Amino acid sequence: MSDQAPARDDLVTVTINGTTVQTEKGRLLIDVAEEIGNFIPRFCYHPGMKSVAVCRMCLVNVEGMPKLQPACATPVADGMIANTVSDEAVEAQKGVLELLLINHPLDCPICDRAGECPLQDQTYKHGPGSSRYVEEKRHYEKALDISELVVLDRERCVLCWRCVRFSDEIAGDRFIQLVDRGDGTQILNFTDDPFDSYFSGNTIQICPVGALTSKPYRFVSRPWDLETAPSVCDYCSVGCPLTNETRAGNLVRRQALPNEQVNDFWICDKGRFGYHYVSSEDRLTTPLVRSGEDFEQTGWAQALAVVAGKLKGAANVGVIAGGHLTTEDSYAIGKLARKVIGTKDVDSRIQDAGAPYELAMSLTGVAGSNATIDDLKAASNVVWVGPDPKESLPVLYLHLHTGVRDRNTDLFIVSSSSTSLDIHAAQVTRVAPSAQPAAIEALGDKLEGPTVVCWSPGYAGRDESPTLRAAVALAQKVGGKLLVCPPHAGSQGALDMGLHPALEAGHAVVAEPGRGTRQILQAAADGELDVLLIFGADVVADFPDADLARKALGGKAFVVCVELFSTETALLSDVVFPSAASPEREGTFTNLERRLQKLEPLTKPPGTAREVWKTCAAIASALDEDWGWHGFGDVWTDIKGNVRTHADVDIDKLTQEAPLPHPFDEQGFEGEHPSPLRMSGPGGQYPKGHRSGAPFATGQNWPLSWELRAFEARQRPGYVFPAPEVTEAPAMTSPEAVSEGSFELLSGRLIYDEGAMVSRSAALRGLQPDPFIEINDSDAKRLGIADGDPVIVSGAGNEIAVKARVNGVAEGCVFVPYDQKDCRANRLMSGVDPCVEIRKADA
Amino acid sequence: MSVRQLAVLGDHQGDVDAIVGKYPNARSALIPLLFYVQSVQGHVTEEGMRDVAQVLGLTPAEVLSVASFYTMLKKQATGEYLISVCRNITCTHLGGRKVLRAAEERLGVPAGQSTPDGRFTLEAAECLATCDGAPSLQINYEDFYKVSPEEMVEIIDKLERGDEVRSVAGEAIQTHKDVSREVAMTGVIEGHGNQEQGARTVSGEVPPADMAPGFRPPVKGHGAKEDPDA
Ligand code: SF4
Ligand code: SF4
Ligand code: FES
Ligand code: FES
Repeated sequence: MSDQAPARDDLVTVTINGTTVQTEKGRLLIDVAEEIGNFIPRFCYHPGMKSVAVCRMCLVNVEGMPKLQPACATPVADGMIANTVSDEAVEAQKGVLELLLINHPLDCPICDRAGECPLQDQTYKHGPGSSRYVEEKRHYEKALDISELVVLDRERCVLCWRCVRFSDEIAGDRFIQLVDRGDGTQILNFTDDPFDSYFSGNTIQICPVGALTSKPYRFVSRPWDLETAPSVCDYCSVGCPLTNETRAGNLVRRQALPNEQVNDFWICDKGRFGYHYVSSEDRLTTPLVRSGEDFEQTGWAQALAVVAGKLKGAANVGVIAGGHLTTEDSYAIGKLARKVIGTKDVDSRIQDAGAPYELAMSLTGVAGSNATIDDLKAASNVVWVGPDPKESLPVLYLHLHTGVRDRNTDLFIVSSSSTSLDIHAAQVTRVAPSAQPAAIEALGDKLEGPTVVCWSPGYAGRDESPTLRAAVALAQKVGGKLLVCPPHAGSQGALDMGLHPALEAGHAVVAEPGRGTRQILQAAADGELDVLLIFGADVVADFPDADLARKALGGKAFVVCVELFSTETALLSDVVFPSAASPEREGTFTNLERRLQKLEPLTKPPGTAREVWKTCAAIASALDEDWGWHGFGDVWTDIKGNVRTHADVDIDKLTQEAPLPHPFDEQGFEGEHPSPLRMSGPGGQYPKGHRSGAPFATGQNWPLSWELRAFEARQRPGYVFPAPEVTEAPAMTSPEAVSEGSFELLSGRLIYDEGAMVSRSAALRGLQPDPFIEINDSDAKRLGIADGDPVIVSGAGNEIAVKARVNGVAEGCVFVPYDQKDCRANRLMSGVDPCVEIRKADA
Repeated sequence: MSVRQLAVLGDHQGDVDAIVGKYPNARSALIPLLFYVQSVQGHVTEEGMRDVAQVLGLTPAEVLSVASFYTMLKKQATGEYLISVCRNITCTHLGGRKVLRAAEERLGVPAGQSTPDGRFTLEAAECLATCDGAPSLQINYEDFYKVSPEEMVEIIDKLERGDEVRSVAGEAIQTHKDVSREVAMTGVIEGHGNQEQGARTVSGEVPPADMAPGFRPPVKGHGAKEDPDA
């Protein structure tokens, strides 16, 4: 510390094993010791949850205390002198391990955890080596299926409570509990009720033994046979960092990487188990060129020549991109469209077509958030406007849940359909979409203290401009911040890179906006487009008007589709290029707080599939424009030179170092370890509190991400962002007065649905609920519909037959999950703000 | 999804409200409500636990976690008369095991089981804290001291005939269900329901936790661990 540094009264000085350090008051001894290289063994302590001190593995000597203290429940105090390796402490640790092993089956040879098991590791390092116990061990039925994803072996459990605490404290769905407390204590679910949490996989990762194991990964690999690369989840816009792990080139596992600024320690089960799509049989492997009814497999040069030929003579070109593309892909698409082809008709909003992100600019300066997840956690008020975040943005739901539970956040919900957070909210306003703006405005007088207003474009096909405008006005009025939550992993990056008819890369407003997704498809359907380029978007399945999408593809426009899979859209196209999936490539995703995070490549794309940016560069070069992009670095040089918001990005700093080597690389367990953490695989254990921001030198953590925001904040003062005009045309069909049996259609995603990736992920296939819709109690009564009755929903000339759930949807509205099996909601939609009819199905 | 019908507590809404209304925090009513379920069904059934979870906004697993801890909350069908014979050290020295054996022979079932007609359940209990009365036993938790094997048989005969039996404290023995009801209703003021329950929202209803979106109905099952004493 320098001489000028003012004395900080939040610091204390402690001495641990002879080393004296200064650290913040209130931190736990176990964390401080670990940070300075003294790893205290532990089972129950996990930095993401509260201490319970039940396992007694972390006992250490603290001078002045008559007995050993559990380091996980001992806050550091000024002048504290602790010894974590005293004879007494070491003896206690041995004793605890011997007791834990009394009932442990020691079946490591058939245990998935072996090789990355904290119990195994700590027994080697701290245990007694042999047991004096010769009696019969406790027995339970082994390998109990407690859900479609999790297997429980109660004999291996050391009763650390981590899984139970996670379910309670973090996920808030207490499907597993300790039962038969006493000598028969065990973890169990309730009889036939499965452990059906959206977050169950986290308990597998934090279980310090092999008691909870993963069904999809069961007996698939030994940890030392895995190759691992850090990546970012490719599903929703929370952007949870995670690992991709392969065995012999096949992706076999994903685990959460910790970042306290993004996901804490957690990911949802969709992110964790939704990786089988990568090896799906539907993956495209070569370019395809239509010949009559069929496709011909071709080489790239041939297909590119066909596309270039069409583009050269084209006067009208539309470009549509999906939500799962990386920042680089989006930049390349924008560059190809605007600079090479010369069209302004570019959009990346599919399911969220017309979502008025640009309205956020009057507050944030960008079509996105100015709040971070950290802001959300620190806020005393959070306003949630949108459908259930547990379904669409699962880890954000965790933050909102723990906010109410542990951080005294007051949660105000304005939503037209029921949400999982309703039971935690200080106030729920359940009104039809048209009444949302007034409901949001009315909150203005209730919010004191730091406030974050969250808006997620909820209901597909609706014009949400009045709602977002009200949300922005509310944030402005109370001096709060705005968290804009676009749907997918690549959505924000696409907006940042200008895949929006009114915004160029860097959120520069276009003087005369081009056409949005709906108008582009309409133009194609009307025969006004010559070429339609579609990147990673299944418009037939995802655009909120399936018939229009089909007509657009069936029109005279020449359709080029760049895709992972042979989707419906791809099958209706004229030329198809295969693309690489996220574990197969280098890239970045930008999450909903506009944080840029890096994907590292691990596997090879199938056949000749490649990154979308390469495809764009190849099309450009076929049109005689050479971008000079030979690698990922060149793309970034281009981006930095041309996108003002990204000029300062240091892409090398974003590099996530590969996770720690697996234990096999280590020289046994004695002697020198740069960090004792090396003993356990991801999720085993981390110190708390110093895990975010810049890369770590110690190897105790994976360097995570780089803050774009700092740069932008510097740019902002004095710079006035022009407010854009509304870019989508007003409603093309306005709903008639609502008649008997006519409902406003609300449609949002469920976590497990027919989405292109999740539906091709084997482990999650069985988890979709049976198709359903939700209607309001009084509407149901009026129509004579009881809970569980079959109903027919009709709209846009189509009908679907489903079961009705009678639920807390706003009156006059019906919630139809977006992409259910055999009943896609987008078939019921035409125009903006669609309505549908509901009637009881004839028995 | 609408709210599931209460299978066990549905016909007792008044009492249930009164019990829940006793506490500032609804969760505190968990044990009384489990006794209430026992008073209706004779033991704590799966359906009963689901009802309690639903009433209190807990998950069934949380209810099980508590229910499985307390031996007085019976997970197996239990007769009208629960006879608990002490098998701990003082009583054993003074002939408790003989009393137990006499009961087993008279009832024709071993300790831990109920008679086929469902009237009696016999259990071997740990120290009843009445060692001065050893050999001790309890019938529906009322004490009997210095009981001989012959007296044991006599008491069972009387209960079977419907004759009055009184404990050492002079209490007439009620049925197990009645006793459970008494425990459940302790301190409840009749007709004093709880008006304030769950009133955190301004509009819209509050679904119980297991009815919230994201909850999916069971897919397949397996049994909980059996009671080793059963
Ligand atoms: S199952 Fe694992 S996480 Fe849960 S209590 Fe047992 S050892 Fe701990
Ligand atoms: S919350 Fe979103 S980003 Fe995080 S793991 Fe789940 S789907 Fe992926
Ligand atoms: S008691 Fe401290 S880690 Fe378990
Ligand atoms: S030993 Fe029987 S009552 Fe104590």
